[in-house]
Amino acid sequence: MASPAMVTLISSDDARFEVTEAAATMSQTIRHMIEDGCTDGGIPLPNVPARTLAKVLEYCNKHAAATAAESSAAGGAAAGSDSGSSSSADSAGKDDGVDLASFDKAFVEVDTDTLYDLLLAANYLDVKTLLDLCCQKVADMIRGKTPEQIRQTFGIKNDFSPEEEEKIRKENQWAFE
Amino acid sequence: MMPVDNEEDQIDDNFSSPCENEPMLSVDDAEDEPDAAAALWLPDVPIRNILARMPPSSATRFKVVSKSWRSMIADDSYAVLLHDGDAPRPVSVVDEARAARLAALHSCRGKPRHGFTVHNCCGTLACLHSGQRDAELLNPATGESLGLGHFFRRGRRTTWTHAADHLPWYCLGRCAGTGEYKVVHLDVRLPTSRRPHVTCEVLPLGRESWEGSSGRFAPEWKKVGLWHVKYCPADCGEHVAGVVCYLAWCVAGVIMVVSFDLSTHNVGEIDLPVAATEDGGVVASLSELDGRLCLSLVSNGAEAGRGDIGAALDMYVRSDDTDGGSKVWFQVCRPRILVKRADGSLCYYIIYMDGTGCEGAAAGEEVVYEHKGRRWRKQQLSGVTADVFVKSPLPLQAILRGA
Repeated sequence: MASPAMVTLISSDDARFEVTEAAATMSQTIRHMIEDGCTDGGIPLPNVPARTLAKVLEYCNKHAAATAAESSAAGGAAAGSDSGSSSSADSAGKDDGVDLASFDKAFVEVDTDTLYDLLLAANYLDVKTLLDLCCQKVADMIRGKTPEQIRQTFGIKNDFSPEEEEKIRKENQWAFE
Repeated sequence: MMPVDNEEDQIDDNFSSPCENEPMLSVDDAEDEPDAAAALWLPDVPIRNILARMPPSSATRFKVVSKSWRSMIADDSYAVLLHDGDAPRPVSVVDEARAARLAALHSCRGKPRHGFTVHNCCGTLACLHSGQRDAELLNPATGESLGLGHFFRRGRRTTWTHAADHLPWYCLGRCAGTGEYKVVHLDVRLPTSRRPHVTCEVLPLGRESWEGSSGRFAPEWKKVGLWHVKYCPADCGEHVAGVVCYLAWCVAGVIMVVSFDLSTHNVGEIDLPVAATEDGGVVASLSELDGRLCLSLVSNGAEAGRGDIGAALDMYVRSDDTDGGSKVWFQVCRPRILVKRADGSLCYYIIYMDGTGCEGAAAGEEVVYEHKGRRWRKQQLSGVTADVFVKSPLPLQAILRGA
């Protein structure tokens, strides 16, 4: 098999990362850049620092590899006979799924700063599965908190007047009890 | 903490030095004015994404955070699904305006089929099973449903064979992290040649279950566990943050809580509160409260039968991971009410043990405490349970594929 197509990504602090096109195009943003042909001399990502980009690419490499393994396994099963080979491919696919799930779980076991950096990067790069993963993690962290804690966490200014806030609290009393 | 007049520098340095060693919710942050703290700024898209993953009670509470958050949390996003055991059909789906929705669903299909029983709600969907014991997914907001045909798939050609199951036990949940919907089915097998056991099968409902661009639904149940018979469920399943939990009867009538992780497919047992293990309390039910597992316990006193207070139940909530990585139970209050399967404490049920219930409730009647208007209201429902779902106008396929 020919060696896979590679692309070079450049972080905001000028670190260069060489990755397979399969991994890079998990990002819709990068996919569009490649389709538009602006890959000469590397793809600049001015919003993503090296530390975060390395982490994002770790995720993309793992998932791109799993997708490739899965599709080749599926292709092999379709080409092979009914008996034997298809069932072994099935079990391999299942193990990959469980493996990937535990990888994902471990991947977002990071401190909050790193998690938010990842979330912003996933949003900018448009890697949907990673964005979903990070959002779920943040959701797990903030559910059950009080509105005051949320404002602190996200640096949000309360722009309600006391009367307005009181009105909303009254209407939704059940959630505040 | 970065002083305010350094703001320009802060913006320039924002990405090259992303990691300030500032714990997010430190006491310092709490004392500073919130906008100067600027702990984190997130664009609207991820915030919407995060809010969509909130339990209803948390999301509703976050309406007061700010005007922009309020605009992202619709007033009518949540509705209650009441399952009524005595209705002409075993299930009626009722929203807050008390409009029957499943009735409409059945009238478009012509004749009512065998009854449906609701197992649980998760996210925007409800999981039911029909009289033939086949599971079915329902979007209660639109009435659209999808049969999960509990069938085996043999060989390359699909041969649909009915599974001979004994327990119509299903639970719908979503994987932590990916958010993929999965249905779990537990069944008891009693082979003559071997010891009885519980089989656990999982049906993933994400992209993999939809064939190609045509989007044909191809459910494929996967057997993921063969468990000791002590894991046989004694009650409905409850989905809490990627984990399905249920009560199981152990030897000598002792109850235990079983957990099943939807991502890793690991089964485990959750320790009970001390009051249940040492003081002889009896576990009554599991529920979800604010995205956490909640357990109601009838304490070992005679209070339950003591006149006007109704059934005395202790509520315990299981904490999030503590620093040591372990979870602990803590008691939330000592209510005279039973919070029953009411994700987000939306409905309180009071079961009066004798005729002296307050505000005229008669013996044995169930009273629903409605959050809107904060009034008591007698229900003509019996065997009723409630669950909360998020209203979504999207087709099931779009919801399941995460489009």
